[in-house]
Amino acid sequence: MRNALRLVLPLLLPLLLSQPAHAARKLKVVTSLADLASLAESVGGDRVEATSLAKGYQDPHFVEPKPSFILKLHEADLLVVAGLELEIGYLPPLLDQARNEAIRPNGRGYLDASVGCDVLDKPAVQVTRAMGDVHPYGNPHYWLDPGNGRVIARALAARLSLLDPEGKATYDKNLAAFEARLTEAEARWAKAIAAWAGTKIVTYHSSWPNFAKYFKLDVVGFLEPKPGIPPSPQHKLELINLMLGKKVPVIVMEVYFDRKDPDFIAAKTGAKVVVLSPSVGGDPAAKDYVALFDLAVATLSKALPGR
Amino acid sequence: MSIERERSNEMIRRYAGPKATLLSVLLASGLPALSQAVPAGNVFNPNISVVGNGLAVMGRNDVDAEPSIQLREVELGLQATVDPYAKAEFYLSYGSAENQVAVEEGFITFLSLPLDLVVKAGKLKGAFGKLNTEHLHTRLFADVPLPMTNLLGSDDGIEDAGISVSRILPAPAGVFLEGTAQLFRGTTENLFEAHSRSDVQPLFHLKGYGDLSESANLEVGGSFTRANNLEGPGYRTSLTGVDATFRWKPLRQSRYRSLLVRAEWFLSERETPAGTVRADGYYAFAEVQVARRWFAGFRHDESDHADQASLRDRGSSLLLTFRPSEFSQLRAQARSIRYEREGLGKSTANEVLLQLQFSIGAHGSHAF
Repeated sequence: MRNALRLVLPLLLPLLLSQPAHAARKLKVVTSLADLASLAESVGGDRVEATSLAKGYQDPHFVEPKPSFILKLHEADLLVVAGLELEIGYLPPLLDQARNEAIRPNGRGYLDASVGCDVLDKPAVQVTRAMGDVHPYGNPHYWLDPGNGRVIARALAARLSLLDPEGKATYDKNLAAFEARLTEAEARWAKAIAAWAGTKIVTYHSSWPNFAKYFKLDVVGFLEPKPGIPPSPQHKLELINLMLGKKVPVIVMEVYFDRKDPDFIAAKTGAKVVVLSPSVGGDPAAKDYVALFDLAVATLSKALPGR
Repeated sequence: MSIERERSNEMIRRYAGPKATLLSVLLASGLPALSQAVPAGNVFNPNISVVGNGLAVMGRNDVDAEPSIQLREVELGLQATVDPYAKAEFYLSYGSAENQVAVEEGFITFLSLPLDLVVKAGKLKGAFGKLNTEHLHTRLFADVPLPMTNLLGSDDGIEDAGISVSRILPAPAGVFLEGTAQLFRGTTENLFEAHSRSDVQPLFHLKGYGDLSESANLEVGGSFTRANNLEGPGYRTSLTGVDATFRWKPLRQSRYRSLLVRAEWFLSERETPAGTVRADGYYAFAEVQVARRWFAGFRHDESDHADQASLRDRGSSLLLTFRPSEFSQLRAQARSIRYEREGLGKSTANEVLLQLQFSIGAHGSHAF
C-alpha cells in the first residue's frame, strides 16, 4: 500500500499543484429526478455539475438505494428532492450513509423543490393504505406543471447563490434566460391548449394532475384502480364502460408501465394509447425541461382526433 | 397558491437563509393542515411500524419440528432523530419459539462525525455478510438457510451489545468500498459466551460494490469474527464469511422484471478440548421477478455441523412469492432437507412452508 502511494503521489502532486486556486471547481448538484437536474443545469450553467439518481424512464417511486448513489451524495454540495415522500423508499438510508451533514433535511445543501409549488391532490380526509400508495402531503408529480418549473428554477437560483455567492450574477442571468425561454414556449403551448381544451383523458397512474390542470385536459379515470395497484379485470371493465360513455379519445401512459392493459382497453374503446415521458430523458427527445413539454404537446396534438 | 404566499416564500429564502427552510416548508407546502391535526405532544414521536410474520408448515420433519401454524414473529420498529447529531432505532420482537419479547436491535447512529465515520452503539446485528444483518421480514426465504442455524448459532445469528464503526474507503472510481469494525460483548445464543470482560468479540466486514451497467450491479463482501465459544474459557471460535450478490433490474421495466443471485459461504473454526473443528457451509439463491407482483426462486444450501464437521446437512427449495403491495407478501416454499444426525444416520424432510407477512405504520425504505 505504502509502495503504491510512493509511486502514485509523484504523479498526482503536479496535477494537484498545477490547478489554480478556486479553478473551475463546479458545484456538485445531485437531484432525485432528471427534471430537477435539468432545471439545475439551466440555472447553474457551467458553474454546476448536476446528476440525477433516477433516470427519466424509471418509475420515480421505485428507485433502488444503490451504494453507488452514496458516493454521489457524499460529494454533493446540493441535494434537490421532489419531496412529498416521493423519495421515501430509497433516500433516507442513502442519506444516513452519505456522511454529508450539509445535504441532510434542513441543511444548507438540501432543497425540497415542492416548497412554494402548486401541489394538488392533498387528501382532505385521514389517509390509509386502503387508498393505495396515497401521498399524505399531496401528489408528488407536480413538476409536470411548467408554472411549478418556474418556481423551482427560482428556488434553485436563490439556493445556488447562497452556496456560491460569487456566482449570483450568473445564476440570476441564467434564471432570466430560462424564464424567457419558458415564457416563449408557453405561448407555443397555448395554441395547442386552445385546440384541445376540455378533452377527457384516462391516465395509467395518477402522474398527471398538474399536467392536466395546466394543459386543460380533463382526467376522468385511471388504469390503476388505486395509486400503485395494478388494474384488475373488474376495474378494466368499468373503465371501458366509463370511456365509452364519456367518449374518451386517449389513454395517457408513462413510459415505464406495461402496454398490455392500455392496449387492451384501447382496442375495446377505440381510444388511442399515448405514451408520454413524465420526466426529462424518458424519451431521447425530452432532453431538457422545456423539451419535455414540447414533446408531450407534439405527441398529444398528433393523437387528439379532428383537432 | 396565492401570489402572497409565493412571495413570502421567496422572502424567507432570500433573507433568512437556510435556517428558514423548515419554516418555509411548514408555511408553504400544505403541511399546516397536517401539523394542526397532530397534537403538539406527538410531533416528536418516533415513526412506528409493526410487522407480522405468520408461518404454516406441512409435511414431516423429525429434526426441526416447527408447529403447523404459528404467528412466528411480531416486530415493533421505532425510529426517530435523537438530536442534531444522532438518530436512534429500536426493534422489539416477539418470537413464538421463545414466547417472549426481546430487543432484536436497539441502537443510536451518530451521523455527523469527523473522518466520515458512521458510528452505531447499542444492541446490533453483527455486520457478518448479508443473511446475518437481515431481519426476519427482509429475508428472501420463509425459513433460514442451513449454514445460519448450523454455524451462526441460531435463526437470529450474531446479535449482541456493542459498537460499530464504518468508513468509506478509497477505491477506484465508481467502486463503493466500505470497511466496518465492530466490537461486541461476546455473547450470542448457541455460539459465543464471554466469561470475563476481556472476552470481547471483534468483527470485521469489508464490502465492495460496483455498477456493471445502469441495470446490473455486483456486491461482494468478506467478514471475520472471533470470540470465546461455549466449550468454556479459553476455547474460541473463528468465523469467516464471503458473500456475493448480483442484481439485474432494467430501469424502464423496473416494476416488472428483476433478477437476484446471491451466494454466501461460511467457515467455522471451533476450538474444543479434542482439537479444532473446521466446518463450512453455504447457500446459493436465485430469484426471478416474473411479473409485477410475482417472484420465483430456487435455493440450495449445505452445511456441516459446527461441533462435528463429518455431519453435513443438505437442502434444496423452490420458492414462489406474491406481493400484492409493498406492505404484504405471501410466500410458498417447497423444501427438501437431508439431515445427518449422529447415531440416527440420515433422514429426509420434505415440507411445504407458507409464509404470510404484513406490515403497518411508517413506510420503511426498500430492501437492497
